[in-house]
Amino acid sequence: MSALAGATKVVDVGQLAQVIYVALIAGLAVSLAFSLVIRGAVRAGEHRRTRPLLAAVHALLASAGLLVVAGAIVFGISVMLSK
Amino acid sequence: MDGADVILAIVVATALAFDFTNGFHDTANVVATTISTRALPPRVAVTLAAILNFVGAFLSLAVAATIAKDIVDQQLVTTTIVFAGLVGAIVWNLATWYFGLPSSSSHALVGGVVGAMLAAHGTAAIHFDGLAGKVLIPAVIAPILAFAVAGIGILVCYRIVGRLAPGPVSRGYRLGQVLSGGMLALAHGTNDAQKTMGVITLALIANGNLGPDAAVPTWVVVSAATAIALGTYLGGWRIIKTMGSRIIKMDPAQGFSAQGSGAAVILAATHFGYPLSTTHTISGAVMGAGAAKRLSAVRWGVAGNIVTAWVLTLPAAALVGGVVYGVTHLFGDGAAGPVIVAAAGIAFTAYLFVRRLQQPAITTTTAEGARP
Repeated sequence: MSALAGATKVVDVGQLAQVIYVALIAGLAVSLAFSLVIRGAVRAGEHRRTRPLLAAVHALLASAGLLVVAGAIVFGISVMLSK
Repeated sequence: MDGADVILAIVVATALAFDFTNGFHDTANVVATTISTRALPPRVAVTLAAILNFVGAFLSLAVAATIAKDIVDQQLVTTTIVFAGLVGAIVWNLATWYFGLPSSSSHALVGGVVGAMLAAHGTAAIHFDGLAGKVLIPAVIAPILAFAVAGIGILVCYRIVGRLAPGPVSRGYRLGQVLSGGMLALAHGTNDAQKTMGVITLALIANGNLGPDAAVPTWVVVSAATAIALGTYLGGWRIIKTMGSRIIKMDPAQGFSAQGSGAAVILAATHFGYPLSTTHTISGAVMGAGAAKRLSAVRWGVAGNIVTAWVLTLPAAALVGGVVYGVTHLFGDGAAGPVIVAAAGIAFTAYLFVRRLQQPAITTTTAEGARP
């Protein structure tokens, strides 16, 4: 208990909690978005000739995922530049 | 050239040598998963990482001002203490490279400086709260957080692409690894090259070559960027092998999940002013990506050795830093001590490399990423 009390003294618990949940959200968002890019691109390719509307929906999904990934890259570079 | 100038020259050379070992040692963080899953050929991967490390060193100079800030009493830092701390960090980096263990170069540097400060001024010169808050607690949080994020991340990946043809999925994740590896290399160049710039700038200020508020000179930026990029290019292949294939045998989705989650965790934490060790984060992410698929997929013995190296980093580098300070102090306050220690260090490093070259090379196959 005293070790825990000592740790809370030297660490800003609020900041740490913020780091944990933002890192969790950011990490999962990157995995999710990039997987959607792959899924959308593969499915769009499969349905391109037979079901063009469905292919367009998948292409849209892939584009949305790509936008999120691009946003994450821009955010990452801006973090490095502003440090 | 008086004694102080000689010490300054030795500190600058030692700082650049540390920067080189930092790049050499930490190449694995950036390229190990990329090479392991064959997202890029080994030489292309390290060349790209070296270029991005070099570019990253120019992105920001904001933290290239102090060394071990809030951890040791800055007023008491001398060039001899910085020299001893650097030697402690270099020795630990070389020892862990020799055994193929990924460990934090930044923690080694902090440990070396803390050890030298302890030897020079005793415990009063150490801010133990800062040491716990800035080094010890982040060292525990980084791998656990990255483990969780990469573990959940790989389950998300498998859930989304599980029913698709494996060929295009693997190609897609390999491309993702190139992107996430690029981000990591940039972040590494920005973070770690700045530490060397900070050390050299501090030494120049302490020696009176620069004013207290002077900006980091261009030659310092260029030389630090070059040293870390050169170290990265030469690559610590032993650690690359450990990170890339000895902890888990990973597929491209796991490689992407480990690297992408690791990059996201590092940059999100940096955004909140809570820098985490790249090595601890990526190692934790690799273990998480493996354990989420199958707990027994992780070689826990190797993982245990890595964690042991992390625990030992601070005290071992501190011990070397303290001993080196003590030895230099035996020769007085002049340049004799640093000159003798530097000469002995160069001779020992040369012996280590020659001995290592005489031993059989690491067995690698094309699939695991052949040593070119």
